[in-house]
This record gives sequence, C-alpha cells and structure tokens, in this order.
Amino acid sequence: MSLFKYSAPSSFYPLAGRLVPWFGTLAFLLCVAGLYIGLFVAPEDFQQGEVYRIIFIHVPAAWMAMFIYLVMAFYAVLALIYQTRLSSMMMEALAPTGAIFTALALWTGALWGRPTWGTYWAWDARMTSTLILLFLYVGYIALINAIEDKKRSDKAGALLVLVGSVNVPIIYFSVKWWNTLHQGASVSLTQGNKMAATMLLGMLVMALACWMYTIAVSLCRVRAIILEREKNAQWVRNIREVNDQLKVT
Amino acid sequence: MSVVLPTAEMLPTPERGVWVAAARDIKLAMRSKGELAQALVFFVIVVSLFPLAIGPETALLKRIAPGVVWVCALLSVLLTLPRMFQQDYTDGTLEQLALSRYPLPLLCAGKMVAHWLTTGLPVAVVAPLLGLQFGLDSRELMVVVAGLLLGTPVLTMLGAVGAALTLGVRGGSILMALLVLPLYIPVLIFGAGAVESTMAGLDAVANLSLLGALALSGMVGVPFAVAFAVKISLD
Amino acid sequence: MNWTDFFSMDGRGFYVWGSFGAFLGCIVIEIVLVRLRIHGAQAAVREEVVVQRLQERQ
Repeated sequence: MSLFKYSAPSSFYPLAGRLVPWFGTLAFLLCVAGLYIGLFVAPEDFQQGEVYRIIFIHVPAAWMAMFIYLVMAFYAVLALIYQTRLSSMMMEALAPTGAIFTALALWTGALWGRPTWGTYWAWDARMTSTLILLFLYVGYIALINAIEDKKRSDKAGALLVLVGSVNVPIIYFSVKWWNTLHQGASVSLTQGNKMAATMLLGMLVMALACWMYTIAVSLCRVRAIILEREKNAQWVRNIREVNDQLKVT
Repeated sequence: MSVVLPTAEMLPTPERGVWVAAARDIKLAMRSKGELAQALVFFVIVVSLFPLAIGPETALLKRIAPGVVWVCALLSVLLTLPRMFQQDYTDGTLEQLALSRYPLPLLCAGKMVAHWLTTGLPVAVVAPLLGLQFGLDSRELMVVVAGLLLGTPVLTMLGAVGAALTLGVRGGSILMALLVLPLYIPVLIFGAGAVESTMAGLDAVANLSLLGALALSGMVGVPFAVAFAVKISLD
Repeated sequence: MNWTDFFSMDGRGFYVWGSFGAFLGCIVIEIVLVRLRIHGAQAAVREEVVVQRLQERQ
C-alpha cells in the first residue's frame, strides 16, 4: 500500500517537506481573504456593532481547538493499534498548536465577552469546557515531556489522549448540566438566524485558513521531531538539508 | 477477615486475580495503619479549614458545603493514588504481578478495589460528621454519603490510569494531579450537584444515577486501560 | 472608508485589536519557534555528520 509507505519516518520526512509550502501558502491566502471579508466586506452587526468582528477569529479558533483534539484521538488509535511511530509523532506535533488555538479561543472569548456581556469571564458551559480542554492539552504535553523514554512517552501519550477523548463528551455534558442547574450567566452566543451570508462566509474562510495553517505548522514540527528522534539513523545523514549545507562549508 | 492466599496446588482460576490483588493490598494497607489514617485525617482537616477561612456564618457554610466536601474528597483520593502502584513498582512486585498467572486487568481491578476500600469508603463514612458541622440536615447527609459511595470508585478508577501512567516519572505526583484533575470534573459536578439539588428541594436521583452510570461504565473499561498503562510503564 | 473609524471599531478597538493581535502574535511566535526547532534539529544532524567525517579522516 502506498499510504503505508509514508508511515515510515524516513519517507514521510521529505514528503512533509514538499507539502509544507503548499499548505502554508494556502493558509496565508485564505487568511488574507478571510480577514478581508471579515474586516471590510461583512456588514456591521445591528446589535453588537463592530465588536462582533472578533467572531471571525474566535469561532475558527474554538473549532480548531476541538477538531485538533479529535485528530489527536484518531492518531492515538492508530498509534495503539498499528504501533506506528509516526502517529505518535503527529500527536506530539499537533498538541502545541491545539493548545494555542484553545488559549486563543479563551482569550478572544474574554475580549468579546467584556463589551457584549459586560464581563471578561462567565462560567458559561462553552467557555468552561474550553478551559478544561486546555487542561487536557497541557496534561498531554506535560506527560510526554516528563517521560524520557520516547517509546514509553509515545504509548503513554496515546493512552492519555484516548482516555481523555472518551471523557470529553462526558465533561461537556456535565458542564452543560451544571450550567443549567445553576442558571448562571445566561449568555448566548447565538446570533439568531439573521447572520448575514458574508459573515458565515468569512468565518468559514478563516476556519479553512486555520485548518491549512495547522496542517502546515504541524507537518513542519513533525519533521523536526523526526530529525530529533532519528538523529543517529543513516537516512538522516543523506537528506538534502544536511548535505547541501555541508558541501558549501 | 481471613484471606486465603492461593498456593500452586489450589490451581487458582483467573477470575480470582481480583481478590488476590485486593487482599494483598488491603493487608499491606492494614499493616501501615498510619498511612491509612492519613488520607482520612487530611480530609477532615481540610474540610474544617473552610469555616475558619470563610467565617462561621451558617447560611454561607451550608451553601458551600457540597462543594467543599466534594473537592476535599477528591483531593484526599488524589493524595493516596501513588500508594496504589508506587511501592510495588519500586520493589519489583508489579513486574511479578504482570508475569503472574492472573490476567493483569483483573489484578489492577483488585488493586482499585483495595484502594477504594481504604480511601473512598472511609471518606464516605466520615463525611456525614463533617456535613453536620456545615449544618446539613439528615436527608442532605444521606445524599452526600450516597454520592460519595457512587462517585469515589470513579475517582479511584480514573486516578489509577494517571497513577500507572506516571510511574517512575520525575515529578510524577504533581504531573498525575495535572492529568487526573480535569477528568474528575464530571464526578465533582454530579456529586456536588446531587447535594445541591436536595438542598433546593429537588430530587437527587438524576445526579446520583449519572454517578452510578459513570461508575458502572468505568468498571467495564478502566481495568484494561490501567493494565495497559502498567505495561507501558514496565517496558 | 475612514481609517480612524476602522481602527476605533465603535470605540471598542481594544477588544477587537486585542483579539486579532493576540491571534496573529501567537501564530507568528509559533512559526518562529517551529522554524528554530527544525533548523536546530538539522544543525544537530549536520554536526554529527561533521564529527563523524573528522573521525573517519583521522
């Protein structure tokens, strides 16, 4: 199978190197287009005014935060079933980006909340579960960094993410339950059904940009991880980046 | 309690692994009674700190009682988690257990049973006394106990995964807390929610059944996850 | 299109630009860090190769 061929780090490394510029360029173009739509084309919201424009980065960041954890769970299953090292490396490469998007979702949510609800932080179900998601990312990163042995940290990380992903729906449900019980901050992010088509378009384009960016940056990071781990393998000595520079010097 | 440790001639059936591991851990725990009492004393002391920090206002204390009792129960379970595997890991017993004739998931289940009997259960037993200090009435106290009886097994189970994953890792106990605490949130919500809904004159059954559902579904899957985590740590 | 109006965002520019700024800032920092990491990894490999070649020559 050609796909399995690329699950070997030695053949994935150059492939990822070729893909990074494509996804990077795509991310950049989509980001420019999305920001243009979001900041210039989309009309002012009749209730919130201009400040609603935070939606164009807040919602994509929140989507990516959840989506990346899902992708990590998928790789965790692959890592545990097929014992592919590359799957664990991809998890390791995705986690920092996921954590950043989660933190950004919280940050932009807070800055949006202040002018619209009058508070930076409300214990709203969505904000609370996003915070817990950040804890899960941080826990994973802390665990794989604390274990020296890479073989062990790979498996431990995969198991943790799997246990975490089973728990995510339960956590989400429980937080929602808790929120209704306490009738707390009755905030609603729903824009009603009056959301203009351009707003939706801007949000989708930005989400796509974030997606492409995640692919580009995690492929780049996984290349670094591959090199760090396979430092002593023979194939690493023959890669272009190493040899080109050596000829010059 | 008389515990019959199986000998080779008795040809133990695999299912007995649960009781072998549980009996062994309980015996060990009984031998060091100080350690056994520590979690309980910790629970009592931390709960008693809250009135000192907040003031003796009965209405306020009653309002925060469910949260205080649950957070403290959660912390005392967390504190005792290293006990489950750490000693056996350092002296090599865990490796012996993994190689024994009993399936590892069952042995892990036994260890969890022992851990719950020596932490969750005592905590649930003393909780009513502490609840009295916070002015809870008898119906609310019953819900506290029921919730703790259903919820602390889940705390033990999720904690076992974290404890096994961080075996022998530098700074393991704080790391374990980092891994385990976010997963404890649903138990905290349902457990404290049960008491709060009773206080509000509502039925606690919904919250309690959710706790029970968590405990039951945990029993199905968690032993395998813990056994896998133990294997990862032993490799 | 008035640029002053654009940047003031109904007087809530702090919130809007605080969000967009943090977003771009995080992404730029992440890109820089990832580039540093991969260049560092490549340099480490290069160093090993050089060391090995020197040893072979001796």
